[in-house]
Amino acid sequence: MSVFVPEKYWWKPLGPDERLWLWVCVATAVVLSLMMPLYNLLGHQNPSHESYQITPEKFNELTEKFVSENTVREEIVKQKFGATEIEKKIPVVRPALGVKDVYLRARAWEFYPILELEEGREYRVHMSSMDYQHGFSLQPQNINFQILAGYDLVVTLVPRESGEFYVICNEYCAIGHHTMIGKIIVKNKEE
Amino acid sequence: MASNYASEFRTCGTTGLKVHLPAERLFYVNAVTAVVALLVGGIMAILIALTRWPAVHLLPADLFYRFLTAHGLNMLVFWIVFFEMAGLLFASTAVLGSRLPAPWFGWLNFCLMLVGALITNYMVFMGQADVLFTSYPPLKAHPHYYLGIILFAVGTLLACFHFMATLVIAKKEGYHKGSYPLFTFGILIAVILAIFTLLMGAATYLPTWLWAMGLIDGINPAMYRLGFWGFGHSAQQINLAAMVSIWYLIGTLSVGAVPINEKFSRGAFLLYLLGINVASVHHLLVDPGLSATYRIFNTSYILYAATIGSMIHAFSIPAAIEVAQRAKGFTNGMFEWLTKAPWGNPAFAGMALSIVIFGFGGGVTGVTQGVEQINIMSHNTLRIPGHFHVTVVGGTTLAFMALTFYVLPLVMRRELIGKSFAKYQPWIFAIGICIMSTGMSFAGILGVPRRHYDVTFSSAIFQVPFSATATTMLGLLGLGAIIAFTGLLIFCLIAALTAFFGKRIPPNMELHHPPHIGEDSASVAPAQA
Amino acid sequence: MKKEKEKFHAPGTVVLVFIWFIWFIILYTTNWLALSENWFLR
Ligand code: HEM
Ligand SMILES: [Cu+2]
Ligand SMILES: [Cu+2]
Repeated sequence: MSVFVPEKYWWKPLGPDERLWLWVCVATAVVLSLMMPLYNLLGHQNPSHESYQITPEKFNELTEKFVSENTVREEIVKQKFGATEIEKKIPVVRPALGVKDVYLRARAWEFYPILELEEGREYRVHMSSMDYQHGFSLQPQNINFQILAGYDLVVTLVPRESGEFYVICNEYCAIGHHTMIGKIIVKNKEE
Repeated sequence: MASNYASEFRTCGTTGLKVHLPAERLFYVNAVTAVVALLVGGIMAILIALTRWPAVHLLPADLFYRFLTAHGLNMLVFWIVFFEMAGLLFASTAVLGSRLPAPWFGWLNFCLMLVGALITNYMVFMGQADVLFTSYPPLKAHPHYYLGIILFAVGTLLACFHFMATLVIAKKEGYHKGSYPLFTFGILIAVILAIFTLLMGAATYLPTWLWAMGLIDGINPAMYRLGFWGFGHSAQQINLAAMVSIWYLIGTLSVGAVPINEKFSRGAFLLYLLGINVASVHHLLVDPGLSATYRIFNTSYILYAATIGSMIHAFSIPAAIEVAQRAKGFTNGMFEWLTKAPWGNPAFAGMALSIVIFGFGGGVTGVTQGVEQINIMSHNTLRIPGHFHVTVVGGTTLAFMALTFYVLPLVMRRELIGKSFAKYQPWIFAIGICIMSTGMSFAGILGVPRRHYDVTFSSAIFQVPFSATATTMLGLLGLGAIIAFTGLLIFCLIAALTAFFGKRIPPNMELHHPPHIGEDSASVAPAQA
Repeated sequence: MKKEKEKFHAPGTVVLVFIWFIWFIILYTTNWLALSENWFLR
């Protein structure tokens, strides 16, 4: 059909508006490409590029060690299953002075333990999964990372405000996914 | 040589296209299957959307995740790919006036795809595969679920080879001379992308299938994600190339637009080919296990090559329409060409809306959220579905719907049933999708996760205090979904009724307003003047 | 010798794509600004 078939010699110079737009496109692409490496050098919010392979057993061991050495109290929480309600105790862990490495274990369907951090202090938060893929979604900061079994993802983070924050699991992890939630408490230096 | 097959052709009285009858029958079954998948996916869509609206919260949890799986698969995979298979047949046979080399082969791959789609759907609806369409291990579905997908993919791969063979034959047997039309060229790019994509899919699904059968021990979740998105993301580039090709095609059919510069447009398609198969890492920006250099390289150099491509098309298609319209005498002011465009023609309106939604919605959100750092704020939140419902739905799906309004009268030679509804269909669907995506995006910005049954956390140990705005945004999601679903139903009804009961169109209709829907629009008069 | 004023053949489209471009710049910058308010992450 004639309307579809190009003229025989279709290799023609661009018109002025095409040339103008092409330059805009190329310039945009260059700027966008530079933004990522530049922000890596100069910016303060970059995704973690540090991760290690680790077995779930080993990670579990490290978490238990961290929890047993730094627990300051326990929080009692309630969970509804239909009509019945159960109570659970979850350790609240406040890393002692000088402790930088913090462990957060994801498992169907809980984050363990509850972390208590200090505003303005730098932590290396290790995250890994014991089973399914999970998501670390800190609210209301809206900081999101992927948690996989077999990988220890180390996020180096500095809380910039105090208060209570929640960690939602935002990767589908089977039927209990929407019940999987954890907590991070951030205190002022004086508290 | 070609004359041996002369009896298998009919000449379309409307367009002068030579249509190979065996190809036409195949086209027909592929298109009908696509619409059925769209309908199934649509019913799932409204159910899950009404569940995500906290005030309604329709389904129980298990059905929500099951139907979400079914929605993702039937829409993103079955509707889109069956329609694209019909598109391949159209681009290679009708547009080039060629015969299909081996109709039996076409039926073979159609049957493979159909059987695969049925098996997979059966496993999902029986509750044997509540793994969502990504099936991230160690979530495990019934082995037949993976088998179905593999069969479907093999069928698709064969269809791609068949398309290539048709291009070869079209030249060799003299059906077509000279360069391929831009539409066919674009589809060719889509097919090349598809072949890479499907091989990546095989590398991902085959081991997973073996694992589900217990033949191998475990699947590394990070490797799976890399492979899956190497497949799943590249698949979106196929859709992109197909959608853009359709924009050009509808531009030509509706206002007689001719690409302003073939070199410009073809170069842009080549950028898709160059750039995009590797940009898949933007799904893994906040994953463990990848180096910064690789992430940045993969998402910047490579992704932005494709972005340039899309920006070029975004210019060159409206420009082609503008030039064509100006040639018809709509030269007043900056925008008379646009205001006097055939808006009453659903194909034109659908195409125009598709460009606007894709550009202003999908493109900008995609490029923004694909930034390594910004992705921290959007990964797995509702911003992600908010993004892709304005690319693959408001963009691709709407373009496919628009094309259908031409295909029904042109290829199937049936007069549209419900023309007055058809006129409004693109608008209803587009408005619904825009409202829904807006709701999703803002809810996501406020932290609401995607794929989540209950953001009130009523059965969890803590309740996240989401703001009232977030809840309102989820309400907007629900409202938009209802409107979009209405548009989708109208489309399915028109397509089905017309395909089966539409009045046969006699030959010898005129070019450029074939479906007789644009009559009331002003464009027709000067065109003939 | 300068070629005197080659004319745009699609001036309306040029306006449209620049509207799009401004919209994109706004969105892109807003996102970076929002991000820079967040907690320090590495
Ligand atoms: C009436 C039209 C539609 C409505 C109302 C709709 C609604 C929805 C909703 C509410 C979700 C769930 C978001 C979440 O909780 O994460 C969703 C997910 C999704 N939709 Fe749609 N959708 C529609 C059309 C489409 C179309 C046409 C496609 C593809 C071409 C599509 C592809 C997807 C995909 C891939 C997902 C993600 C599934 C997942 O997370 O596993 N949708 N849609
Ligand atoms: Cu989880
Ligand atoms: Cu989860």
